[in-house]
Amino acid sequence: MRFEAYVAARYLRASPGQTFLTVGAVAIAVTVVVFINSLIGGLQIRLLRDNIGSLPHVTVRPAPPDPVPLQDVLPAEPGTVHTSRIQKLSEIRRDLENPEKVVAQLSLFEGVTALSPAVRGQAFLLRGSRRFGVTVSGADPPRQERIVGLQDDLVAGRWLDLGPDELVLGFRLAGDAGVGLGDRVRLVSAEGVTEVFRVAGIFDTGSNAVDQGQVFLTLRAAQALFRTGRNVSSIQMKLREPFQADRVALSIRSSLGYEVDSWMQEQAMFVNGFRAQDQSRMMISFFSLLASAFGIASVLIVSVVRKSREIGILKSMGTRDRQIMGIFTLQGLFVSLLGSAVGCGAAWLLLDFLSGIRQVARFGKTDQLFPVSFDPSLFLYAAGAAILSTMLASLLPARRAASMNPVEVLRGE
Amino acid sequence: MSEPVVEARGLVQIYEAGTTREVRVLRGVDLRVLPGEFLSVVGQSGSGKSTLLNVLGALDVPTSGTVRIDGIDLAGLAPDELADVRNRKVGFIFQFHHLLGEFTCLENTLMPLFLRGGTPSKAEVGRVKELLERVELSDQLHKRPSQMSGGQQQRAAVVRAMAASPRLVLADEPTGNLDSRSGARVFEVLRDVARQEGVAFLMVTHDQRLAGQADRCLRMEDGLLSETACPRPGD
Repeated sequence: MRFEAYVAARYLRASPGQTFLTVGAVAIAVTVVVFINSLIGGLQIRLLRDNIGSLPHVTVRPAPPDPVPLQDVLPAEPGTVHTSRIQKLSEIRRDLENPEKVVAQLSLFEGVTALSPAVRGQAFLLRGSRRFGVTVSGADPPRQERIVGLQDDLVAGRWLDLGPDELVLGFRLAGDAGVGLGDRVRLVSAEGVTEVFRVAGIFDTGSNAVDQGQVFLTLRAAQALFRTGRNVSSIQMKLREPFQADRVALSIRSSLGYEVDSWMQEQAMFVNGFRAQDQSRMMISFFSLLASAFGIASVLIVSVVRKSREIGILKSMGTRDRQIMGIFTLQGLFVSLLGSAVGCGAAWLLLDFLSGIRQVARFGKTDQLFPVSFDPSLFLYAAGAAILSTMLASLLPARRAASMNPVEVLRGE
Repeated sequence: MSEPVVEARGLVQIYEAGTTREVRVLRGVDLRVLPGEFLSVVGQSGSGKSTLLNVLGALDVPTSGTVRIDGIDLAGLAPDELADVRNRKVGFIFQFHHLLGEFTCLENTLMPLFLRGGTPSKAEVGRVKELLERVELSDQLHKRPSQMSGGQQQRAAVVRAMAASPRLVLADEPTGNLDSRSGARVFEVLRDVARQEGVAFLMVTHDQRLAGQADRCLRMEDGLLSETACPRPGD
């Protein structure tokens, strides 16, 4: 291999213009792949955070009771035939008993990072004569924090040390109701319980539905408001991979029999859009690498044609076919290694520059204009894909060089 | 009597066999070349001289007949084994010297040793440098072919053919592209080096004066090889 490397390196050095172009083609492809994936990846992380950051990935509820056929209820009388049509039971409130036992069962499923027993229900928030329909979510704040991540979205007050007579609510609801920190509001649950809470925190999740229609309480306060005793209405789960939610939900449903919802079912349109973005970035990456590979293949083919005389003379000296092939594939390897290194460096500089550009966000905060996702493994993948595609592209000209008949080439003189 | 370096029997070479464009280039060539012998081959263009060199040098496979180089029967050898024979037993010199433009004079002459996979030994490099000195190229070692004259390039090609200590050197019109003075100088070098190294030498040439200086002269005519009287000065 030393001979092949020696000749390949010399060929590259002897044609700096050609080498520059081929290295440039690989470098541009790697830069595009890293840049596009980092940018779209960053946008997707922001989209995920904004859209589902405050939602549980999976929600586990008690299974609805099966309807009982009429003949199982009425006493059997000789000569009497009962006919019945089975239909879904009307919505009734169902609670999970012994939530910590269920939590222990659910924690065994793969990829679960957080679990929080919660009581959720509908209520009215009363402020003076005004009333607002809200979804109440009651849970232990530190556990709930791992599900909804409210702390980062808090624009005023506090959340993690919420007291039993306190709540936090979204800035839109606070604005509509005209309440601020320390103000008192009343919550009236569907069960007819009325409790007074003091506003301890105001958040801005970026999701209108949450910011306008949801309040968070402690678990105990919600259990009292909805009269669930020590039971809860659901267990909320967060997963390491949000897009595994459907799979995990199915697994829980089939093995434990609970009613399980995944965010992917509830936000199907968002998931479709997200997947379309994924496919777009893969297409852009694929075609960038393909264009680079075609460019390199064509340059190397021209190089083989130009060097046919040298190939003939090398064969006459006893160079083996696979050595000739090695010379041209190694040229491809050198070009791809150098191009990948340059491309990774350029992409890093570009991403570093773009990630430093800030824009003004609400409540005096700033955030990145381009939410770049710096993933070192992406550089490795892009470089690996570029090296692989370049090597594949160099195989055709290399095979052509190796199969050259020296007699014909030398006779051509 | 020493073993022949080249022994060819009944060599037939047919191109495009079985088609309307069939060409019989060699029609049954027999040849024995002993170590140190210097042979010239003359003949008209298209008579099969270059094809004979290619077949003898394991670059081309004959349609029928056998070739033995230094006792090795080339028939049935795999492509890699034929390449090995070319590297270790045969040296080629072409009309257009065919040096590699990206490499220096010294690198070009060391190429047959280098392609064996490792750096040539000090002894091998020393021997090549000595050959370069004998052909008066000591001051051209680090020059590219484009920086050398045609005669210098052809002398470098002679040294390259000798670099791997071959048993047989095949030269196809080695002076055909040079003026008469440079051609004579290259021929002198060829003959001297061949004699000193004990290498069998087969040279195709149109130059009657150079052909006449060979130990034996052969004539190629219509694909058949025959021994002929060497032309002498005044012929």
